[in-house]
Amino acid sequence: MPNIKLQSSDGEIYNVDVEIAKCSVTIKTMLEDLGMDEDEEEVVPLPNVNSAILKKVIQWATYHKDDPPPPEDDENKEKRTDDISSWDADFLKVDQGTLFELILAANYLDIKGLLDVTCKTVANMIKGKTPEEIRKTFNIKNDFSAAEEEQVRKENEWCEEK
Amino acid sequence: MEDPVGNLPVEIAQEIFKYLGATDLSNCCRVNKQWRSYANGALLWRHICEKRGIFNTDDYYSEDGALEPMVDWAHAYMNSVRRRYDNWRKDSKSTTKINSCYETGTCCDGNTLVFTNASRLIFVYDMSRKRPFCVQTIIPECNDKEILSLEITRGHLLVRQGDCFAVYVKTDRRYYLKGHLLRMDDSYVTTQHYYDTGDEGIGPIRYCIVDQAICILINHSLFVCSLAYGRIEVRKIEVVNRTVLLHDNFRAYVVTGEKTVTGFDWQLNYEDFPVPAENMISFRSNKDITVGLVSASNTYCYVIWYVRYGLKPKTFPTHRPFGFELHPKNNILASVALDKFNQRSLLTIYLIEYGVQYEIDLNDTSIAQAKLYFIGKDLLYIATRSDWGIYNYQYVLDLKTMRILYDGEMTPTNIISVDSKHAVYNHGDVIEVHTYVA
Repeated sequence: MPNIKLQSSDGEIYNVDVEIAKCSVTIKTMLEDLGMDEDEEEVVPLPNVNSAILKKVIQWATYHKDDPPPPEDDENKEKRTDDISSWDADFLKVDQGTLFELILAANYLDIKGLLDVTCKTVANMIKGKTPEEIRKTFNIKNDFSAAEEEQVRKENEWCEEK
Repeated sequence: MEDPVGNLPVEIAQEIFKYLGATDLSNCCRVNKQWRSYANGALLWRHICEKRGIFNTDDYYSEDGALEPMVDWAHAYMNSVRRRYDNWRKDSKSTTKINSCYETGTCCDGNTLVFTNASRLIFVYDMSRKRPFCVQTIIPECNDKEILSLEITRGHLLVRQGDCFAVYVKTDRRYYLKGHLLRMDDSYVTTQHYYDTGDEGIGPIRYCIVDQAICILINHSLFVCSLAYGRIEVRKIEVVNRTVLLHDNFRAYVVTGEKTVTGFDWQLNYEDFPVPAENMISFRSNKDITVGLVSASNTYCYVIWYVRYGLKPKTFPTHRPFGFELHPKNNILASVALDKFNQRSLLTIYLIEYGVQYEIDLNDTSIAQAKLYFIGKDLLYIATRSDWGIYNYQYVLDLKTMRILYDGEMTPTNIISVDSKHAVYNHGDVIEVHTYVA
């Protein structure tokens, strides 16, 4: 299997199977555009991803390398968040900082499956919580003035159902 | 790390918010200014409205506020909710009748209605629009056995035929087979797991379905099958003789031996409640508290356990109740009980956090049973019946003013489910759906 070298923002180089690296649409397009030869010893720089996160991304991509491509977003489809596989759930048992860096990396590298599952994980952290509980979860300051607070409360008073 | 969501670029934040429903989105709008600007997106609210058949046709009057007003689609959604509760208050509804269904097995979770009949097919009705309509008929896997029961919980359908349980999962309004929990030759087999129930032979199967889990009790084993996260996870727990299985919508309870009561939720967590088994009658729970109805030598009381906070349990004495219910979100307990001494039937509302209770005389001494349902946060629906009758009297109470908005006799009927959108009744082979959706 041909490998390519991926370089993280802090200079670490990872040797990765091309097929695994290609789950990132960004890398795939890059390879196609540049027409890289498989035996060339090129290094692909990824200036937006540090080594810790890149390692996690490669770990995720390696596990999911044989997955069928994720279906295109259908706007009418119900958006479930309870269908995270147990491997992914364990994989994402990380601190908040890492989770959000993974989201940014998945977005930059354009890996839909990873973006979906990380966003679902964050959505699950929001679901069923009151505004105050959400603030606590993500360490957020309430910057509404009293008048604004009253406005948002009124606006949303008809939304309190299960 | 401060506010990682608020610091995301807007297009990635939308990727997260698109998984949220109206209530969660509305809560996000109240977090801070940044979150409000993310969660107040026309596209997000438009999808929510379109799924429910809500159209953005009204003219909106928005009061002058310090912030940019909410988008039209959010207004359209909130208006439709407000009108729905107004319909409940005014008892204004439309009725749909569905014929030729079996009395047993009909169930409804507010989004879907499922039933079966002599054809042994399972009919799935979608309830998200004003009138329920059939979206699917399921041919059960073992078509030689009669369907004994159907139950739905959070996007799952459980079908029991003889000793066989099949679990279906809902995607886009339709149910797809997810797995089997089959009993074959003294063992429990699922498509993913295999469990041996031992050499003691099979006694009667008792089971219940709660939130996202199924609990099945056979002999000395309790199988707790969690349906969450797209997989069936089974845990086997050894229990002792005289085990009783109780449940409500959130939690299953096993009363084991003589000493303790244990409650399981779908995450397979459990807590012990130190109550003598013989005194425990039934439970209700929400995410904060568990309420147990406990009796001892003909006196009754509600015991309230603070599951999440580890506070001391509270006790409220009561007369013998005909029925009680706990609000799924707010800590309000409603109970209909017989005041023997004064010969009257009382509706009591306990505001648990404040230690306050309101009593309302229902002026009906013939009540033998009562069912209670909370409608949103402000309304309570009560149906009562006299001895051996079917439910034939109803009340709707405003919890803000503690006044009965209206009451009256109704056609004698079984109640399948009542929520803010629909009330579903069943009598004979007819299902009647009352729709309050505006």
